[in-house]
Amino acid sequence: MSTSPSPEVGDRRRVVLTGLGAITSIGTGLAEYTAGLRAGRNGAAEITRFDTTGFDQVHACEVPDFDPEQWIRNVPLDDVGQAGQFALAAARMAVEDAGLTEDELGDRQSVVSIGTTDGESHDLDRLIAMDVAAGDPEVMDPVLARRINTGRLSTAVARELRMPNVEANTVTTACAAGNYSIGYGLDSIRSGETDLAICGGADAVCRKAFVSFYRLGALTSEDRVRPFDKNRRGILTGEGAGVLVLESLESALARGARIYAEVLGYGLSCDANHPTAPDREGIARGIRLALDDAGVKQDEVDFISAHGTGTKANDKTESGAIVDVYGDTPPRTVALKSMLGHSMGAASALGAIACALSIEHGFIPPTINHVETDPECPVDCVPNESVEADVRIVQNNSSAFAGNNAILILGKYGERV
Amino acid sequence: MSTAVSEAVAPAAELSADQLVITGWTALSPYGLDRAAFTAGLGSAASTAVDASQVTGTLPSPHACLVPGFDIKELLGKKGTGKLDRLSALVMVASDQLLRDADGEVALETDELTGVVVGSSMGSLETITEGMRQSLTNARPFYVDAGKIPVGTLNHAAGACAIRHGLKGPNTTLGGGRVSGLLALNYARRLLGQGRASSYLCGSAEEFSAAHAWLEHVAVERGEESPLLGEGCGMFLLELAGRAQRPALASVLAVESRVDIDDDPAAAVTACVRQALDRAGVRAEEVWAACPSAAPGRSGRAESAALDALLPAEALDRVPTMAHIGDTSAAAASLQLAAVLAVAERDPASAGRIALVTAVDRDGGVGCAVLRLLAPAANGGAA
Repeated sequence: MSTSPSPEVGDRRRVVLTGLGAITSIGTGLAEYTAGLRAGRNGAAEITRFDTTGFDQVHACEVPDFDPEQWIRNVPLDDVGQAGQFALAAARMAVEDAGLTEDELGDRQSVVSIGTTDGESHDLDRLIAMDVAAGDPEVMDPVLARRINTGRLSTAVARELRMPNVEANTVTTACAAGNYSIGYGLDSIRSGETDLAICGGADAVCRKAFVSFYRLGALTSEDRVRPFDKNRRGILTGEGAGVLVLESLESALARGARIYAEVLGYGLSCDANHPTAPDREGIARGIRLALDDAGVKQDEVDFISAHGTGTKANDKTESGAIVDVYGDTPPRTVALKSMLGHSMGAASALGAIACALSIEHGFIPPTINHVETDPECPVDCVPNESVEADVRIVQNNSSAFAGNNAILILGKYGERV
Repeated sequence: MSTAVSEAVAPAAELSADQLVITGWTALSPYGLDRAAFTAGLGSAASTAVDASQVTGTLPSPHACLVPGFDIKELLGKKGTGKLDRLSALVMVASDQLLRDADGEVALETDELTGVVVGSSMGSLETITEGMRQSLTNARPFYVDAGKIPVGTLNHAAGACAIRHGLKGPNTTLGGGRVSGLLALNYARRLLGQGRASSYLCGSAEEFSAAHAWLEHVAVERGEESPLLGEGCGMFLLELAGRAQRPALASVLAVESRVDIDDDPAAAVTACVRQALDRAGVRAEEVWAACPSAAPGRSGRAESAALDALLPAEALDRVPTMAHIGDTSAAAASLQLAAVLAVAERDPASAGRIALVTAVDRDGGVGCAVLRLLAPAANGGAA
């Protein structure tokens, strides 16, 4: 569209990342998450969240060491479920990392946008189990029933951070939701209407997601995920939260904040084709929209953090879309889901944080569990070992059921004017 | 703004090119299947509650406000609708009504940047909880209806709407309880403003189900009654005035939201409305029509009290109460916006006046939208 009324790239307000918070199956906190990414840790283990009797798969990537009381101060823990606790903890971590005090946050106008696939579906699973066991819905626990609506993920973050003057929206665009939220924060700051946005994604391992992917044949039968491998068999479900503090460059500079990376742009495309199957043309269009929005050329991208679920269909289709945009020698393309499993709504937020950390620390995380690259996935997936690299510009992919693609571009701050 | 309340401005010609305008609307509601039924129903003073337990089985209380005659196969055809949920169907029928005229002809040219944003708290709760129930009660825990799994994703309705009409622009689902419709409106406003979309289908929806009714019933705070639940979908065509394909019905002057962090919803609504009026550049005395969510319980009472203290009484009297269609949850704010537009259509004196819609939710979200009404009754819009 040449009729776009949006400002030219050079005239826009610039937006940077000044704080990160990560709760993951391979490490909680930035130091542990960075170490996990660098070492190529595998987050898979036997499921503890729910009873797996009757399934021949018992693995998922759960957060092993989560202590909500270490992070959550203001919201009673019972007011939110597992996904909400992850979101609150990651948000607290992110604003502390950004060096923002409650006084500085206060009545400041901002956006809180948390993405999710299943929200508090673990609570909903428990409520239905109570109903089924008793044969009477009256026995369902009111504490759980009050906290299941997805909107609470974002309003609870605002309450935890004591920020009343926020637009709190929860993006429920499934497994692309984290990138959607970050993109919305970017647009909100670019618009000039706010200079701060707290964005990301959260999900908790739940029976609902496990059963759904199992029934669709998308869950691997193995204890590990092998994206881009010839013998990949599917996903493991995962969980966690990633929250990022987005700030206008002026605001960050004025308070002397550390800048991890600049949010250069993003793209949203809808396949309008199939409710579950990935679509090569739709993904490629999303990537092109993101590069255009960022003002970045193909040869400037140092690596791609792929959606990379480890299913036959996704990895082949996504690789094809990458080749369509980048030609036969695309940037290195890694799948964090080999380590984290599919953390659903948190996935692309954790991907974005990994991209920012790779820029900050100068390395590209690996695709682990890799034996033999599938010829149908013609990408260098950085098998098994991370590599040191001067990372300047990174692309973070995500796709979701219902045909939604959200692609984010981050760059090293100071590299571009 | 110094314009006296009595002087209605001649508005449409004065719009700046980047002004967000509503150029079409529809509402599926307990008043009926379309915009005309909604407009007609608004004027009646009776509750739309029916005995819903005959359709759904045992309910905590038998009454609910259902969209009458909502037969999915009849409205959307038999092909591909066998597994379709009620929520997605409501959204799809609403999108049909906005994109096609009464003869089925295209009413809005779409392109690769036509966006869709749908507000919905929990997707199709009936579909999701039925899958959970099957997993717990069938012979094997994975014996669940595979065809229902895509339908049980929270963003299914928006995606189905895109597939139906080939809409490849930004496609987003937002959850925010009763504020969902206003959050969707602001989302579309921002993305249109940033050039990510050429036009938007924007709305919010709720389906009634036994699952929803029971969960709301047990969630009710001690001392409060179980809410009378409703359902429906309000949907709008949003464009920028400079390249709108259809006449503007209203300008969106401001959409503001806040979070009640102190358990004081009246204060949060008051602050939000003041902020929205400031942003819109209008005074409270200028508000000609206002529509609160009429939410059940403490938050709804607080909202009403806040508006009573802020706004002219005649503005609040001008829009019939939403209480007659029950608590429509995530659909509420969009149906309130529809109500304001319906009232404006019937009253030529509305042109140039200010309208305001508020929302308040149990999870702490509050919202307020301020519109300038532009069109008299006979003007365009969707059938």
